[in-house]
Amino acid sequence: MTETKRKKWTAADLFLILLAVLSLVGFLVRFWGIRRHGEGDLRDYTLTVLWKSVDARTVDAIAEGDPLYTASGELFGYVISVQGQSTEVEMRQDGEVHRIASPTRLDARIGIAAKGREADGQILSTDGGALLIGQTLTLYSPTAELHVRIASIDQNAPL
Amino acid sequence: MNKMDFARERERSRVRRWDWVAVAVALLLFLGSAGFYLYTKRAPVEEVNVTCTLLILEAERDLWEGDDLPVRAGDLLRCQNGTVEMGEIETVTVKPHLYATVLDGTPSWEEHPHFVDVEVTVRMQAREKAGDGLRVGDLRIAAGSTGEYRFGRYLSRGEVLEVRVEV
Repeated sequence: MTETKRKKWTAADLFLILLAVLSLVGFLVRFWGIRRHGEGDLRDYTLTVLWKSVDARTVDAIAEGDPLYTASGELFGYVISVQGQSTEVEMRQDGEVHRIASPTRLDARIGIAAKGREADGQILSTDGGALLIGQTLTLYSPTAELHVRIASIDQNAPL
Repeated sequence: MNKMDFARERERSRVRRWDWVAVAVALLLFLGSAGFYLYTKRAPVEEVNVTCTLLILEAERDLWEGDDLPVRAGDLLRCQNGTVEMGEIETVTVKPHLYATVLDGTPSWEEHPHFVDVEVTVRMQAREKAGDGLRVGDLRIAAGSTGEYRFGRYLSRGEVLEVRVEV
C-alpha cells in the first residue's frame, strides 16, 4: 500500500505562487486599469510657474504648444503662454535700495495647461505627485530644462 | 529497491516536475509582462545634428587674455569625467563679466576687473526621442541645464544657453 504523504509547502513554493500572483495583478493593472480613479476624474488646470534669471536665448527655447515632461518622461502638460521680463538686481547702499535690470537675464512667467485630480483637498498631477504653490519643479521641453516654481494653480471651467 | 521505494521515487519526481512547471509559468508571466511593458514604452529615436551654446560664467580673466586661450576651436567637449565625447568646439567668444554696482547713487553695470564670461559653441550629434529630449551618450542636452564639462583640457561648470537642432 502506498503511503499518502501530505506535501509540505516550502518557502520556495510560496515565493513562486507570490510571483505568479504579482505578475497577474500587474498584467491586469496594465491592461484593464484596476485603479481607484479613471480618466473621468481628471480635471484641467492652468499652472503659472516662474523661471528666474534665465538667459534670454534659453527662454526662446520655450514656445506655446510645447509639451513639458517630468524627469521620468511622463507628460506633465503643455505651454500655453510665455512672458519674459528683465531680471531685476537689487542692491543696498547707505540704507538705500537700488534696482537695475539685467541686460542678459530674464524672469519668465510660463502658463502650463495640465491635468490633475483632487484628493484629500490636494491637487495631484497625473504621476501622483502633489502640486503645491511655492513648489519647485524640474520640467523638460524637447530642447530645454526648466527649473521653475509654481506661482498659482487655477482649475479651468469645464466645457 | 522495493516497491515502496519506487513509489516514493515516483512521487518525488512528480513533485519536482510540478515545481518546474510552476517556475516556468511564473517566469513566463513575469517576462511577458515586463517585455510587453517595455515594448509599448519605446518611442522612435532619431539621430540629429545639434549646435549648442554653452556659457562659462566668471572665468578668471588672467587665463583668457592674449592669443593663447585655454579653449580653442577644434577642441573636444567632454563630460566631467571624460568618458563621453560630446562634440567639437566651433567658436570661443570671450565677453566681459558684468556686475551690478552703485556709483554716485546710480545703479549701473560695470565690467569686472578679474572675471570674464566665455561663450562656446559646440557641434554635436545627438539622439532625439519623444519624451526624452536630446541625448549625447547618456547625457541630456537641454537649454537651461548646467553641469561640469571638459572644454578641451579646461574643466569648468557650463550653462547650456541655447540648443539648435538642424532641420
